[in-house]
Order: sequence, then C-alpha cells, then structure tokens
Amino acid sequence: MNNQKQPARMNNQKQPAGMNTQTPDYSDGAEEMVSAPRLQLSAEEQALIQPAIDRFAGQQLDRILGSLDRLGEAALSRRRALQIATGIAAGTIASTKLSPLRRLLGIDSAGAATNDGIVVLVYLDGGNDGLNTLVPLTNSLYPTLRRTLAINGATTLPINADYGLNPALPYVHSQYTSGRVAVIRGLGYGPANLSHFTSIDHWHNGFGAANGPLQAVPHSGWIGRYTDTLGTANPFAAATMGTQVPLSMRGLSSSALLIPTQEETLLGSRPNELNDAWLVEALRQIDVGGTGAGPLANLLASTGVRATRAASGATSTWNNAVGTAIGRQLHMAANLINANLGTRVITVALDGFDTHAGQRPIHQRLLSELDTALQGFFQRVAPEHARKVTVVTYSEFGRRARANDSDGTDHGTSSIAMVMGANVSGGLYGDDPGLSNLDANGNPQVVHDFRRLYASLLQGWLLADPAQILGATHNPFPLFAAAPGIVPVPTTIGASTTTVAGSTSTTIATPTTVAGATTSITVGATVPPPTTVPVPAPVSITVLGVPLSLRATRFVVERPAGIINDWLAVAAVGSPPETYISRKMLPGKGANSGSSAVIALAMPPAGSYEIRYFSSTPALLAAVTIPVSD
Amino acid sequence: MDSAMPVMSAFDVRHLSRRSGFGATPAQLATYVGQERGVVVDLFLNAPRAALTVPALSPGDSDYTQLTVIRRWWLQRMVDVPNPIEEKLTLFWHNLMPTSYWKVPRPDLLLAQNMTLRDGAFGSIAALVKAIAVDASMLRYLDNAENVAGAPNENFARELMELFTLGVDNGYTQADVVDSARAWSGYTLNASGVSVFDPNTHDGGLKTIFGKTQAWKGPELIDEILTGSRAVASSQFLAKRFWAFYARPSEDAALIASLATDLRSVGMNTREFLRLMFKRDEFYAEPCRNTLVRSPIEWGVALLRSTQLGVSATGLDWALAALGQVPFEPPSVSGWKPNQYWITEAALWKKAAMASIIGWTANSAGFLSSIEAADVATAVQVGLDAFGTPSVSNTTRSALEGILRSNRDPGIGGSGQRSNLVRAIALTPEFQLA
Repeated sequence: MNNQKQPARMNNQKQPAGMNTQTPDYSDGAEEMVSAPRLQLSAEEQALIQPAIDRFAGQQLDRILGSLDRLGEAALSRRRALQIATGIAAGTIASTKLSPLRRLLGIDSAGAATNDGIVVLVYLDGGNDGLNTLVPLTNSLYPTLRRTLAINGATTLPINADYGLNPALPYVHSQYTSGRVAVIRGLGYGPANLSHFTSIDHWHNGFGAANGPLQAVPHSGWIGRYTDTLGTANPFAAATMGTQVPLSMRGLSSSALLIPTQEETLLGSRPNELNDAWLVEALRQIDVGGTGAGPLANLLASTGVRATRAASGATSTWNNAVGTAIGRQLHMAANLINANLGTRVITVALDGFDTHAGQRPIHQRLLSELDTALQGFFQRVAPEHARKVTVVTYSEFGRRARANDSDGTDHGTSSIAMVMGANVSGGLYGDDPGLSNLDANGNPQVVHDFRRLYASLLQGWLLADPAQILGATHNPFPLFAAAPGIVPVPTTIGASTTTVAGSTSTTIATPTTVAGATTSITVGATVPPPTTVPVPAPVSITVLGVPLSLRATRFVVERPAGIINDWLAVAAVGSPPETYISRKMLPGKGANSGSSAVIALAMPPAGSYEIRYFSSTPALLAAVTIPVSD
Repeated sequence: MDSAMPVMSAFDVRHLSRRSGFGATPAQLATYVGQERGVVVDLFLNAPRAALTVPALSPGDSDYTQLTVIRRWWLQRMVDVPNPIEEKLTLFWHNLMPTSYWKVPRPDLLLAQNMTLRDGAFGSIAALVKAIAVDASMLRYLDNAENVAGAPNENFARELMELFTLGVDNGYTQADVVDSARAWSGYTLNASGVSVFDPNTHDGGLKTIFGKTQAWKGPELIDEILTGSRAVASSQFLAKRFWAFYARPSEDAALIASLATDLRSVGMNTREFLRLMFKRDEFYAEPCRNTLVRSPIEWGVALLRSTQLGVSATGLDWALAALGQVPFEPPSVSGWKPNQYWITEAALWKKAAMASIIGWTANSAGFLSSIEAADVATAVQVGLDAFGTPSVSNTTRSALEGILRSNRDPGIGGSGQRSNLVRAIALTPEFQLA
C-alpha cells in the first residue's frame, strides 16, 4: 500500500466537432399515455414553463432542467421548479412535444421529494489512526506508546474528561458539541488480517455468520445488496466517485453509478455528445434483449441504456474551485442530493492514511482536508434535504498502538467510525478497547463487529432489513434521534410498564396515566389495518412542548420467537395506515426475536400521536407487549 | 511437438491473438488458420522481440512531461509491434508488481522498471521477482529503501508475499512478515539513488521464517517461496493469476492444481508455462470465450491497431486517464481490478467519446471507404472484419445494420456513416470483450 495522492488534472483534450448532430424526429404525434397522477400546474406556472418546453423540446432533459432551475430562481420556488422538472421526467406533466425526448432517453421516472434517508460514506483509505483521531486524555499508556506521535491533550478539542478530538477537526467538533456527531469506538472484524486489501474486502463485503468467519470470496457488497432491494429502475440510487465501482457497491442485480472524478460533468459526457441523438440511439440499440454472448456481454449491453438514462439527469458539474479532491467529491455529493434524483447512498474516498512513516504532518493534513470538506458539504446540502442526510467515515483498520521507528504507525485492527448529521443522536458509542490489553501483534482489540455500524444505518436510516443484507443479525447502535426528514423532539415519558395487548380488536382501559411522567399515555381505538400487515391497538401518546434536544423516545417491545418482520411507528391520531411520521423496523427478527427489542423512535413536535406496532406475523401479535419506558 | 493437437480454426487464431496480445490482423489470420495448434503457439512464443527503441527523456522537462513521453511510448509500442505478446505479458507483470508515478514521480526509473519487467518477462519468475525487489522504483514505492535494522518497515515484505507471490494468508503468517521485513533490511538506495545492498543497515541476525531459523537475506526468501518449501502455494497462486489474465477467472481447484503442476514442471519459467497453457484444450473451450472484459488499455490499443492510428494523434492516453487505466499509474499496489469492474455507464460515455475521435480521424485516412458503395449487410461485415470481430450476435448485427441504414437516409449519408460505424462497432459488447 502506498500513500499516493493524485492531484486533479484538467482534461485538456480537444473534442472534435460533432459530426452528426442532426436530431431525428421520433414523434408519432400522439400524446404519450401516462398512468401516474398529474401534477397540477397553476396558470402562472404553466405560462412560466411553456416557453422552456417549447424551446427545448427534442433536446436534452438536462438542459430543460437547467432552464427550469433558472426559472425557479427567478419566479418559482426552487422546490416547485424541481417538482415540475421531475414531473416532466416522470410523465406526470404531459407535453406532446416532450414525448420523443422521453422515448429517446428511456426515462422511467425521476425521484419525487420524499423523506428517504441518504447515507454518504467517506472511506478513509489506507487505515486511519483512530487513536490519534479520538485522542485518549487519561490513558497513561498513550504517550508512552505513541512517543513523538502522541497528540498533546491540551491541544485537543474537548469531548469529555477522557477524550479530545484531533485539533485538525474543528468543524466536526462544533457539530459534536451540537449533538450531531456519533463516534463509535472499537469497530473492526476478527480474526484480524493486516492486509489492506483483505481488510477492505471484508468491510465492503460485510456478509457472513454473526460470529463466524466472513464470506471468504466476496462477490457482492453490502450497499449493493441494499440497492438490490430498490430495483434497478433508478440509475442514481447509488453513486460512487473515482474510476471503478468498489466492491461495497456491487450488488447481485444492481451496481452503483460511477461518477468519474477527472471529468467536467457527472458522467464525463459532454453536451455535444448528449445532443448527438445518433450516439444516444446507438447506445440504446445495443441493448435489445440478450446478446447471446454471455453474461458479461449482456451486462455491457444493458449499460448502454443505463448510460443514456443517467446522462439525462447529469446536470451537475465538478467545482474545481473547491481546493481538495475530497472537497470536490463531497461538493458533487451535495449537488446530487440537491438534484433530488432518488439517490440513497453515495460513497467517496480520501486516500493517504497508510502512514507508515512521517505520520504527523500527513495525518493532520488529511484530517484537516476532511474537516473542511465536511463543512463544505453540510453547508451546500439544501435545507429541505438536511435532515435526510447522514455522513459516515470509516477505514479498513486502525494503526498499531506503538509508533514505529520511522515516526509512523503500522497496520492495526480496531478503529473508530464517525457518524454525522442533523438527526444523529450525538455522543460516544461502542467501547474503548484500551491500550493495556493489546493483541499478539500489539494492536488494540476489536470490541464490536463493524457490521453493527451497517445494521445501525440499514435499520435506522435506510429502513432496510440488516439481517438479510448482512447475513446475520447484528445489534444496531441507536444512532438516530429521528427518522429521515423528521425534526426530532424529545419527550419525557417516564418509566412505565403499561402493557398493550397485541390484538387488533382489544381495547385497554383508557386513559392510563404514567406515574412520574409528564406525558400521558392512552390506548386508543382500533384503527383499520393496512392492507398487508395487521395492526394491534395503537398506543396514543401526548408529546408535550418540552425543550428541544436530540433524543428520541425509546421503547421496549417484548416479542415471542417467530416474528418475521415487525415495525414500530409514530403516526397522527386516526391517520390512515402507512402514513407514518416516523417508522422503524425492529431488530432481531426471525428465530432471534424471542426477546425484548429496544428501539429509539423519533418524536414529532408537540401534539397527540399514536404509537403503532405492526408485524407480518399476525398469529403472534397477542403475545407482544410494549412496556413504555424512557 | 505434440502431433495430437488440432489445427487452428479462425476462432482459435483470433482467440489466441486477443488473449496473448490485442487481436489478430487479417495477415495473421491468413497465416495461421489451418496450422496445427502447437506450431502456432510456438510461433507466437518464439517470435523475436521487435526492435526496441527506448525513448530519450529530457532531464529539463517536467516530471509530468516525461511521464507523458513514456506512457505514449509504451502504448504506441503496443499498437505498432507485429506480435505484441511481450507487451501484454509486461502489462501482466506491471499489474502484478506495480509501481505508480504518484508515489515515484521519476519517469526515468519507471522506464527502467519497464525494461526490467520486459527483459525478465519470459524467463525465470524467481529471477524477475528478485530483480523487481531491488528495482529502484520498487524500493521507493513500497518503502523498502527506508527499511533498516532496528526499525523494520513491513510494507514490501508483506506485499511480496500477499500480492506478488503467495496470496493473502497462503502459506505465511504475520510473524513471517515481521521477520521477512528484517531479512529485507539494508536493500536500499545509495546517496545517488542507485539500488545497493548496505550491510551496515541490514539486520544480520537470526530470523524464523516459514519455520526455518537462519540469518535470512531477502532474495533467499524469494527462492524459498518460488522453488523451496512454498513452491506449491506460490505456483498455485501464480498459475491462477495467469489463467485469470489470459483465460478466465476460475476457482476450479483441480484446474488450478494442474496448471500449477505445469508451472513447477518447467522450473517456474514463464515462457515454457505459457507454451503449455496456450496449448491446452481448456484455453480454447467454451467457458473461456467471452469471459474477459478488455481493460481500457486493451480496448484502446485494439482500436488503434485496427485503424492504424497513433496514440498522440488520437489522445488515447487522455481517454485512458478518464477510463482509469494509464500505464505507470496503477491505482494501488494491488493493480487494476478486472472484468466487470470496468463496466460502468461513465466508461461507456468515455469510450463513446474516444471512439468518436478514432472514427473521425480514421475517416480522414480513408479507413473503410469501400463500405460507402456496399450494401448494408456487406458494409457491416467489412467493418466487423476490420476490427477482428467478424462473428457477433444477431442482436448486435441487426443493431449495427439499423444504425448504418439510418445513416444512409437522405440528408445524412456521406462519409459520416464510416465514422459512425466505427464508433458503433467499438461499443458493441463483442468488441469490448477479449
């Protein structure tokens, strides 16, 4: 492994003049049939966008979007402009003149504004020194082992009496003190292998038995298996930056969109290529069913259609004014999120953490670049998306406890991950392995399987089933104060053992006042069950107007073994099924479910709500109880 | 010569040529089809090296200018030499034991490493690995130049076993890595930057490696790995790498064991191993067809070989930078990831841009001018033949014919159809596969 750092280069290659830019007319004159509900435009909006539609009909969608963007700045709210733009893309705004365009680009749909959670993963490539990132202040072994590399405790940014943050991370620290950063300690895998490549393959694969070995030969990655569950219709569901898609983002049926970092535009496609209808058609033509030449040939063929679809949304460009590679990547990530294309996972990387020699200046510079880039990212994400975004830093391993004789550190094992975002429930998580009980190679012990981090993200933020994606159940950390898009509000529900009988028809005596609490809990009337899962009697709660902090309310759900899937949700009283304000899948399904599950559920602003429990195993509902506790 | 071998079909010749190099020329096809397999393989492997003109670097030029010179030189050599088997094999070794400009910004040393790789490419693997271990670029790239007695640096010692010769956890332990680092101490650079063995910084003490305790020196480890107690493990690792690069990725333990036996039987000599490998029936059998994606270098070089265009004239090296594979700039010490890792939407746009330039430049040179007067089906076949991909699926063929037909509609036509056909063929799945 090496510390190579690739400066961005401008691609100064001259593009030859387009040789065939005539746009064929694919119009059949008929208005395209659409099944999606139509977005109703006001007369004013119709008047505003019609010139753009007329002007750009038959041209590229990204130009229409760009035009609408400018119109939006001028006359419409940006959000409304985006709605209109995506409405055009999704066919919910009809235009005869747009039909050939949509056919040409093969657009199925564009993402509507939702509260879907978005995860941005920042890979600290090479093995970040967790010990010098979250610095122990009171461990006397630290200065002994680290010698000249030890960070002076007085210079660190205060976390608590025992820890300080590396002084190169002032922005992260400011967010930590605002309760928006979770630091998870002691993450890694075992048995440790000190190879970069094996380690990152394990991290990116993330599949295997709970306490057994990880899958030996990785064929897919954990994010890829997650995006498999989203289908392949949206090419923007997952995106990565660089020159190859990492294993983490390779699913069994889906793969992330690669955004080349050396290019001008999102896909490196230039306007004259996008306007070369003949080329777009050629790319599409290649994919007309199987090629008969095997799976790789089919994959190559289908890439043509995806390429045209993805390019149609490629409105973003690199901002070379951002000074660092990681800064530019996170800038692009924010652009993608703001474009509202339905992106759920974005990965970026910062290389150079393999600090075998002369570590201090290198490590400080890298952390400083990271800190500045994170600040730029969070400032760039549009306010309407801010509560949907969680950023995670991770690395393939930490460093050796003892500094080596080259003022560096060798490959280690356990390290920390940082989780940042408006809805993160800040604080320290996991456990510090300490420095007195090192392993045979002189490395701090791994305390927590790294897949607990993934389980936390999948369950708490992406609302997916961690066990299916990771191959085993891992206890998630309660990292989130609220579900994506929800403003977290605390409640002060006291310790209570109010029991809700798990039946769709049972009503429990109401109201029940919880002793010592400022919140009353009542059991309300039965609500109609959703179409697929039964709903037991909901628990009504009243959330009082207490001061904001970033804590969610935690519930304990006692379940019998055999529950297949179950959720806890908070909803407006009497609101229709599946219209939750916040919802979470409970951990430990299937054979592992015969125990209590603790789940933190975000509380909405003051008002009356119902807590609903539902499961896909109706026969077992009668045995479920929810003792409400703090 | 093995008289039992079948004669080479046109497919066989194209397959051997694509895999051992970048694709068959019409002249090669005419020469080799119908000859016996053993004869053809021997002709490929015994072909003398084409005249080697090493580029002169101007010390006054910037590092990056010099880098551009050497990468264009190597790419152009891949395009020009009649039988590029040495170029492809050198690329294999460059991918297995790489050095990157981004850590070693010394194009002169990278060029010297390329010479070391190509000079040793076909011979004893142990000799080649020993030469690379003390190569001035490698000593910098994996920090062994800083590996001194009393302050060992594990970087090279680990990657030598993990990535170059054995594979991760395949016959060695972390303790072996630690003591190997001591064995490699003192293999360094002198004040002039020349590779030397410095006994003063070498740890001459006893080390226990692979269960043997002695005063190990680094190069002795390479013999121990490749021809001593770890020969089975290393031969399996390398045989698997060769098979994955030239035939297809395989986890077939029996096949790998058989290939490894071949490799040991020829004393870990690359040329003789490739001779056996290219003569195997499995190499030509169905599972090996359409199972490798051409890497960007292979794809771009194949295009230029077919169109007889130059690297500088078409800017191929710039396109390769965008596609993620530039000689002397591997992403890490583990090289480039193969096959499906190259298939992305962005890469397709980039390939489309490169193919546009090639098609356009080729037009000026009169490439494929005969197709303008030919009927659509014939024209497509002429184009496919010119790119060494005569057999394509019906799907691909009808797509190409449709594209050409629409190009002949009134108002388009003309020479534009030629460049558009070149571009379309370059983007077909069949041409993107090796």
